[in-house]
Amino acid sequence: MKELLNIKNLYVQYNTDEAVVHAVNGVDLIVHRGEAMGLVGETGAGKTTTALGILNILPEQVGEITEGDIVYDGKNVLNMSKKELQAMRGKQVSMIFQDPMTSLNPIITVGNQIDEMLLLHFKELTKEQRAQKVDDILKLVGIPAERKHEYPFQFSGGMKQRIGIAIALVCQPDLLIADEPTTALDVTIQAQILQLMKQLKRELGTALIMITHDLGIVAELCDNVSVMYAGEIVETGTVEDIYQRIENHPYTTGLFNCIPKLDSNEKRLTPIAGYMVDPTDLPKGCKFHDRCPYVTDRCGRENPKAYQNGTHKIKCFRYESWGEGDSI
Amino acid sequence: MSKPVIKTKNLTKYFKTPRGLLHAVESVNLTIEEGKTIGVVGESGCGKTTLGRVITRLEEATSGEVYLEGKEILGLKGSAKRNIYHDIQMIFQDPYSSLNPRLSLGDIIADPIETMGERMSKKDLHELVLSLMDTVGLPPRYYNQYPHELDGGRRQRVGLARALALDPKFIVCDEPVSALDVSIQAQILNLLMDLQEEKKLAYMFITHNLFVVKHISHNIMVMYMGQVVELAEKNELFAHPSHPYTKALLAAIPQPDLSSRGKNRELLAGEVSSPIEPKPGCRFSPRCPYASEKCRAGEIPLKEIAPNHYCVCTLFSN
Ligand SMILES: Nc1ncnc2c1ncn2[C@@H]1O[C@H](COP(=O)(O)OP(=O)(O)O)[C@@H](O)[C@H]1O
Ligand SMILES: Nc1ncnc2c1ncn2[C@@H]1O[C@H](COP(=O)(O)OP(=O)(O)O)[C@@H](O)[C@H]1O
Ligand SMILES: [Mg+2]
Ligand SMILES: [Mg+2]
Repeated sequence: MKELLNIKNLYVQYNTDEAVVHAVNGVDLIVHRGEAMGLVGETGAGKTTTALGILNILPEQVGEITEGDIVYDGKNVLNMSKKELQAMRGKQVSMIFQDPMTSLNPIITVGNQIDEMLLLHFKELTKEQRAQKVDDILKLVGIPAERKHEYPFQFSGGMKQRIGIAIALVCQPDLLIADEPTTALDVTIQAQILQLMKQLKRELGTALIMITHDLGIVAELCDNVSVMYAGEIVETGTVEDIYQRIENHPYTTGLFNCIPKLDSNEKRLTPIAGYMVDPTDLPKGCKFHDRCPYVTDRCGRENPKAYQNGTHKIKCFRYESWGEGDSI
Repeated sequence: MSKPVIKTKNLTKYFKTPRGLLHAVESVNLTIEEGKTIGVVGESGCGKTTLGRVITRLEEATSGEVYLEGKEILGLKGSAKRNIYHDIQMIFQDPYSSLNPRLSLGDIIADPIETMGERMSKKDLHELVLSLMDTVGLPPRYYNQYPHELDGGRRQRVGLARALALDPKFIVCDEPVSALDVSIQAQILNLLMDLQEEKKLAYMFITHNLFVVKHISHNIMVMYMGQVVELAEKNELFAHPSHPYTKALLAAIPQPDLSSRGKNRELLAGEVSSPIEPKPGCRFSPRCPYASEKCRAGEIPLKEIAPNHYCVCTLFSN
C-alpha cells in the first residue's frame, strides 16, 4: 500500500502563561492509503494534539510545532500556504470530534452544511449535482435524505455524529481522523457508528486514524495500532502484534490489565502504579519509568530507542535484543 | 441469604413534561443485601439516575415504597427524613459539581459530620477527617487543598470520604468511574470493593460500562426506558442473557481482544426514545426483532426463568 501520511519526529508544545506544556515529544507515524490506524492512550497522552498538528489547526499563539515534519501525499503540511491548507482540509483530510457540535453549525440546516463543503471544494458541480451528492451521503450514513431540511438540534446524539461523518466524507477525503467519535454515545449506538465506519472503509477506501482510549474499538476496527504515553508513541504494530499480548510495552500491558475481564471473577484489578507524568515537567529517560514494574537504573537516564521485530516496534530496553528499528 | 438493607416495592417516578407524563422509573422491585452490590445498567435516559435519586429521597417518588432495614422511608418527614442520611449516601459521576469549590477538602469532608453528627471538638473532628482521608487513600497533605487542585480520581476519593463520614450502610454509586481513565478507574473500583468487604456496605452501582458492572456487582438489573427487563446473578446474566435487549447490549460491547475481529455483529436498529405517555406493554418492542402483538397487549409479568434469574419478556411468559 502507498504511504499517505508520514509524520517525522514531531514535537508540539503549548506555551501558556504558567508553563510550557510538552504535549507531543518526537512522534513518528506512517499511515498508508486505505489503512485504519488506532491511536490509543489515556487522557493527556497527546492524541488530539497530534491530530490537530496533522491539519495544522493547533490553537493560535499557544500551540507550537517546534520540530518535525508532517508529509501528506508527498507535500509537507507545515510548508503549505493558507490556501493550500484550506484546499487540503475537508477535501483530502477530514476530522470528526467527540462532540459532533464542534463541527456542526446550530443555525444552518444539515443539508446546507453538507452543501457548503461541496461548494468549497467542487466549484464545478451544478446545484442539482450537489443536491444529489447531499442525498447520497446522507443515505450512506443512514439518515433519510428528506431530513436534510432539519437543524442539528432536531437529531439525537448518534444521528448528529452520523451527520458529522457525512460532512467529513462528502468530498471523499483519503484520510479521516476520528477523535473519540463514539465516546459520548451509548454502546448500541456506538456499535452502529463503528459498523458504518467499517463499511465506509470498505466501500470508499478511506484511510482512518481512530483516536480512542478504548482498546475494544481498536480491536474491532483497526489494522494497526500505536500506543501513546506522555507525547510519545511507545509501541506500534499490527493489531495482532499488540493484542496477542505476548510482547508489549509495560504501559500497554498496564492498560490491558486495568480493564476488568468478562470471563473471570478476579476480585482485584491491577491498576498502573502512580499517576500520569506532568507534561510541564517531564522526567529524564523513559517517561514511564517511575510507574514501570520492570524499571532499571538505565531507564531513568536514557530514553530507549524503538526496537523492532517485523511489524512490531517497542520503545523499551526489555526488547533491545530485537535490534534497533525505525523510530516511532 | 444475608440481611436485606434496601428493598423497593413498585417504586415509580413520573415527571410532568410539556408533552405529557414521562415514565422515568416504572414499578421497580429490588432487594439489596448487606455487603452486596446490585449493578444497574442500561443506556442513557433509561432511568438509572432517577431510580437512585428516588431511593435516596433526593427526588420524591410518584408512588411505591422503599424499605431501609425493614422500615419504610418514603413516608418519613422532617428530622426523621433527614436521619436516613446516616445510613444512605450517594456518590456521583462528576464529584466536582457536588463539591463546594470554596471549601478546602478538610472542610468538605467534615461538613456532613458537622451538620448531621453529634457536636465534637475541633481536634476530634480533625482527626476523624484525617482518618476518613486515609481510608480512601488521600494523603494528609491534601487537607488544605481545594477541589480544583485535584484530578478526577482524587476528587472521586473526596466524594467517597464524604459519603463515608456518617458510616452509612448503603451507597448509591452513580457512574462514579465513568469519567476516569482506565488506570484510575481500576484504583477506585478496588477501593470501593475493599470498603465493601471491610464495612459490609451495600451498593447500588449505576453504570453503562458492562466490564465495570460485571466486575463489581453481585446481581445486575437491566433497564430500558424506565422498565426493568432482566435481573439476575451476574455470571448467570452474562452466561445466559435472555431478554432481547440484554442480548443486544452485551453483543454491542467491543472486546479488547482478537476474538471478534472480522466478525459482523448483529446490530440493534433504531434508537431509544423517551417514555412520555408510553403505550402499554414492553417499551423495547418497537426495536425488538422478536416482537409480536402480545408484547403490546398489556403488562408483561416478571418471570423467574432460572434460579435467581428474572426476565420480563413474552418469550418467557407462557
Ligand atoms: N490549548 C491548550 N493549552 C495548554 N495545554 C493544552 C492545550 N490543549 C492540550 N493541552 C495539554 O496537552 C497535553 C496533551 O493533550 P491532548 O493532545 O488533548 O491529549 P489527549 O487527546 O491524548 O487526551 C495535555 O497535558 C493537555 O492538558
Ligand atoms: N427533572 C426531570 N424532569 C423531567 N424529566 C426528567 C428529569 N430528570 C430526568 N428526566 C427524564 O427521565 C428519564 C430518565 O433519566 P435518568 O434517570 O437521568 O436516566 P439515566 O441516568 O439512565 O441516563 C429521561 O428520559 C430523562 O430525560
Ligand atoms: Mg483528546
Ligand atoms: Mg444517569
